[in-house]
Amino acid sequence: MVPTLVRKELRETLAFVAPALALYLVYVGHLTGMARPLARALAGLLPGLSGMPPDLPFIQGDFNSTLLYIGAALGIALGFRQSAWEPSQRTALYLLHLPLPRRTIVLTKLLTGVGLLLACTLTPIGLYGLWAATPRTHPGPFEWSMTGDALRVWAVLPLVYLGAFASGLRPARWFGSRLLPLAAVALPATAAAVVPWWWSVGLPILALATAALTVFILREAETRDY
Amino acid sequence: MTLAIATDRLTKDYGARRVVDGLNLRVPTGCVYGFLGRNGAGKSTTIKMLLGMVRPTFGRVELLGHDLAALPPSVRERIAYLAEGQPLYGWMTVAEASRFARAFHPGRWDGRKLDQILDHFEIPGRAKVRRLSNGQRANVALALAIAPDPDLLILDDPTLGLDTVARHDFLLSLIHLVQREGRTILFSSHILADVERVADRIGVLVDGVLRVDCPTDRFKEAVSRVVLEFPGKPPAFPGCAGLVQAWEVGRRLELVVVDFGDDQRRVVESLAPLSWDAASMSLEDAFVAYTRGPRRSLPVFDDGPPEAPSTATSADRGAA
Repeated sequence: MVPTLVRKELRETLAFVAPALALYLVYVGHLTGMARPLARALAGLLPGLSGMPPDLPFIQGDFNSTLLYIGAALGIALGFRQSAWEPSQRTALYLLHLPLPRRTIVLTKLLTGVGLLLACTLTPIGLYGLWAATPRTHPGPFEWSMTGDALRVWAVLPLVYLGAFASGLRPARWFGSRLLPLAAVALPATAAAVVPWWWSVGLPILALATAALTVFILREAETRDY
Repeated sequence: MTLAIATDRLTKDYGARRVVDGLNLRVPTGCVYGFLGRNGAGKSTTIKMLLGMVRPTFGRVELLGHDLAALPPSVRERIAYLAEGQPLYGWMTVAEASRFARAFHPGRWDGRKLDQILDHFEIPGRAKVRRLSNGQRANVALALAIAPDPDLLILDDPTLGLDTVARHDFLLSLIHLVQREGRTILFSSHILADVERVADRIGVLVDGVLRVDCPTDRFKEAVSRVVLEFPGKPPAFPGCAGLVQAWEVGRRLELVVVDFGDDQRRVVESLAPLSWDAASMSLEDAFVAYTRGPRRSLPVFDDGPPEAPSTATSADRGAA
């Protein structure tokens, strides 16, 4: 039953994941010199596609901000698609009547969404890192520890997704107040991404905020009217 | 008598507005129950509360003998639900929708019955759900709902938006394919002719209150239109037990009365009309007359005689 639900979620989110992955690939293609003509053609679409690739991968240039912009946009789109769309199309009535506990259905959605987001955003880090780790591909040095900041951005993105999911799920009187959970994740997400002590401060903030949002989402899914 | 659906003082408030008020619904096992009411009467909210889609403000629900709050998946599997508009995933083909639904009912799925219905309506498996007509989608939804051989089928206005032919086909499916001994069906509808054809019992919800809960025939027989002719302007009607509405049309006084009997006859004759006549009504006319009555003082129907005598007086008269 759960694999069937996962397949449904994958199919329904394909339209968001595929363009994000394509943008990442074009960007990495630009950085690695493997897709420069395509990157130049799409330069207006993404600021990071103009200019020369940096000598020091991950340290110089705008890799982290590009990773964040595309990842956050994907996280928000996925979150709303998986939460608000079903009630708006009334398919939530069909889905939630399936003989599975509601908690299982919602958790399946969340895990599929987080998994997709993490897999999609890890792809450019992995590809760019592999290219940078290959000798004679660029003039500067490279160590995998240089991907640390990018991985922090990567780890924070599920929080943005959960904020969007909570916003889409939570009924509200008007659009502004509906976005409160999404707005509320800005502070812990920024703190987790920028504080210098990742293991002692950043990660605990991230874990706490993620747990709180997950509990909120599960409770909201159990108690709201459809 | 076992009950497939039982509610106890089921109540739902949206803010200050009470949309369902202390509903005690009892649907016997094996019954086809037509759930009626005007727009906004609370039918859909009630159905959603029955299925746990809307949380009641107060009260409880039992389905197939189990408390809804602790309904195990094995019992939920025996309950089929067709929401208003038959929501299905539009991007799926009919075959994909069927595979999707089948995965959740591994031990109960009757693929032959599903194919039989799809073949009957000539719905190809490769057709996208979003490209089906309303009638075809309704039949696919019904076929998917009954393929797991449910013991209880709850349909929220299943013929809404269907043309006459599609409605006819859908009802035929309901009558021939869905009904089986022991299977309980509760369906809401605005189309009284549909209800008349398939329902053993009806419940009428008026402003969130269940005013009628009785066999369909009893409701039809119990609601009468009484027409009194006078030589001049009719006198004010003093009211009687079971009065739903009274209005003047020229020299005539027309009444809608529940359980017209000797007591009501005496009141009518006390007005000394030139002539009077009492006639039974069709279900549709009876429903319209009944639900147009003074809502707070409508006579309550159940299997016995009306419980609460009407307090309607000439002040409650409807317009002619």
